[in-house]
This record gives sequence, C-alpha cells and structure tokens, in this order.
Amino acid sequence: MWNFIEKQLLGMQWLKEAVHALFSLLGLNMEGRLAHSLVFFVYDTIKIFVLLSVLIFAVSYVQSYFPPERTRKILGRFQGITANLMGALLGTVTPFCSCSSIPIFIGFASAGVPVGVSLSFLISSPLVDLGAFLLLLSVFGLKIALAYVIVGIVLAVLGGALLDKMGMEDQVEEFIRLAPAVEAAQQELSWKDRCIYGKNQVLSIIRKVWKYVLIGVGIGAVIHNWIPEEWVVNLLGSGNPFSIVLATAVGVPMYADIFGTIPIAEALWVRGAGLGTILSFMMAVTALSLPSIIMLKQAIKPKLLAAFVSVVVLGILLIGLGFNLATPLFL
Amino acid sequence: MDIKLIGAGCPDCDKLKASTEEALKELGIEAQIQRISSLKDIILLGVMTAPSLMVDGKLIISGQAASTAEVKQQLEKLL
Repeated sequence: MWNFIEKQLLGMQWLKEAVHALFSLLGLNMEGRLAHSLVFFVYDTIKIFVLLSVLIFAVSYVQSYFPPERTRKILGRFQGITANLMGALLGTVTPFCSCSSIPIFIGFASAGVPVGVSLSFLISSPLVDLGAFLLLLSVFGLKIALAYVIVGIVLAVLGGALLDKMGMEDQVEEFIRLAPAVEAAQQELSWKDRCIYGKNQVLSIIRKVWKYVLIGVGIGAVIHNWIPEEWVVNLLGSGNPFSIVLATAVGVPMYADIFGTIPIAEALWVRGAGLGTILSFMMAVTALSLPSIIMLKQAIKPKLLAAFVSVVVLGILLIGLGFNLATPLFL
Repeated sequence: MDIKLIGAGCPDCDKLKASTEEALKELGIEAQIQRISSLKDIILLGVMTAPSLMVDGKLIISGQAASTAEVKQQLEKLL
C-alpha cells in the first residue's frame, strides 16, 4: 500500500509510462538518448507542476491558520531551546522562499522575539517545508525525505541557539529593535477565504518559480542522459570528500527554490553522486542566496550577517559529510 | 476611506494595486491608494506579509495578490 502511494501517487510512475507510450506512438526511436531526455523532461515537468499546485494549495490552507502576526505571538510564549525549536517548526509552515521570510524575520525581531529564535525561523523557513517534504518523498522515498527534514530542523535549532550564545542582540538594526510592537487588526477568515488564499498562493508561486523548474528539469535531463556516469561518480561521489565543498560553494550564491533543485538532485542521485553531496547542494541553494543575503543586510549588522552565513555553511558541510559516511543506511 | 497598499514593489504588489483600483472603480468609491513600501513604515503598521491591503486600519487582504472580485467582496463587507 505504502509502495503504491510512494511510486504511483507521489512518484507518478504511470505518467512516465504514459509519456513513453505517447512518444512511441509518435514514431520516436525510444532507444536513443534524445528520447530518454525528452521523456524525463516532459514527465518531470508535468509531475512537478501537478505536485506543486496540489501541495502549495494544501500547505497554504494550513498556513492561513498561522499568519506571521499570530506566529509571532505563539513564539513569545516559549523560552530557551524550546523557543528555537518552535521557531524552526513554525518556519516549516510559513512561506516558501527566503525573500518572503526576511520581512517576517524583521517583524519577529521588532516584537522582541530573541534574535536566535528569529534566526532559527529564518534558517528553517526556506529550507524545510511540507511541500518540499512531499516532493522529496516522491523522488527519494520516505527515509531520505524524513532525514532531510530532521537534519534541516536540527540545523535551524542548533544554528539559532549557537548565534544566540554569541550575544548578537545588538546586531539587529536600531530601527527594527526600537520599533514599537504594533499589531495590525486581522480579519476573520472563512473556509472560503482560506481556499481563495490557497489559490492565490499557487498562482503567485507558480508565476515565480516556473522558470527555475524548467531550468532545473532541463539540467536534470542533460545529467540524466548525456553526462558519463564516471564523471559524476568521480567528481560528486561519496568517495570524494571535496565534493561536498564544491556542492556547497556552487549552491550558496545560487538563487533557486527547492522545487527547481529537486530534478537536478534526482538526476545526480541516479548517476551516482553522493547522498550527502546532493543534500548539501539542495540545502545550500535554498537556505542562502545572494539576493536574500543582500536583503538581510538591511536588517542586521555585518558581524551577525557573517556569523549567520558561516554557521549555516558550516552546518551544511557537516550534514553533507555525515550523510556521505552514513549513506549505506539509506539504501 | 483610508486605503493603504503595503509592499516593497514586488510584481504581486502591482497586481494587487491594479485589482484594488479596479474594485474601487466598480464600487464607485472615490479614494486614493497610499503606497507603503519602505521597510520601516511597514513595520510601524504591524504588517509582516506583502502584498497586503489595509483599509481604515484593518487588514482586509493579507499576503496575496487577490483578484478584483476578491478585493471587491472584501470592500463590500466594510460598506
């Protein structure tokens, strides 16, 4: 039963077969590499857009119960590492990209939520969300998807707690720290309002990410069929410890979201790249990007910014290393 | 009517602005839309998601590019 859900419902194997059959009907030589690339491209694009729409709608419906203004109130009730954990967990049910989580981070800081807790939120929000979990489930299976979510949350909790210990309270810009805590009056939402909200989120996210998904699937299709397997294994296999550094260095400045990254990860995985290397790459792409760092610079001072980036990068490297060593557990 | 459109110039903000203008026209309301786009002003209003629409101090659209019909419906509740 679980196998059916994983392979057919989430993995949409039937769609791959259907695309394959359609191309054969059109008279394409199905043995060639070009045909394989085409099938991968069409199948993966359709799969990601369908899953994306369904997932974003569902997640947004849940999200509408946790508007950031309310999240902020919930966070205020916790202390110590529990607060970091709550910050990280609430990050999983709030927006999908680091650009929308930064204004929320600022809102937290202005309301007196400790900076370490706000940072836990800021790390986990783009890194881990329910949509990404289900998409990972469809591509990599339950064990790896769960492992990704758990280490993502651990990174957010420990990273935030560590930055808190460094005494960074004064590293948030004055205009944010000294802002009076006001709260805008919210309207009551009916279930219909929540559905409208979900629909609008689907449209707006698809408008934003479709190009990254197409580029990601395109790169995935090329890796899948044209790049020799031994290149991938030599450069990115778990036997090459340097591969994690390379994957992280390439991923950090890149701006894409997790949905565009997954097809690349999927292709690299099939071609023999190390599990830790792939996770490092995905995490580096989603958690940090040049635009989000520039945006964050408006809100926090250089010292905290440097510490934040270092802690996240270090965490991602360690996670990569750990997973490459522990890969046999996941096969 | 005091209407504030909150958002720092993302494409979604322009969408919401257009649908708000259209909704106001359809309802025959004469009002200026005030655009709030500096980070500081947004914090001072206590709003954390963009694009949002605030009418007379109350958020009626929060963090979404709502369509004309949806904005119109929310505005009608206030009339």
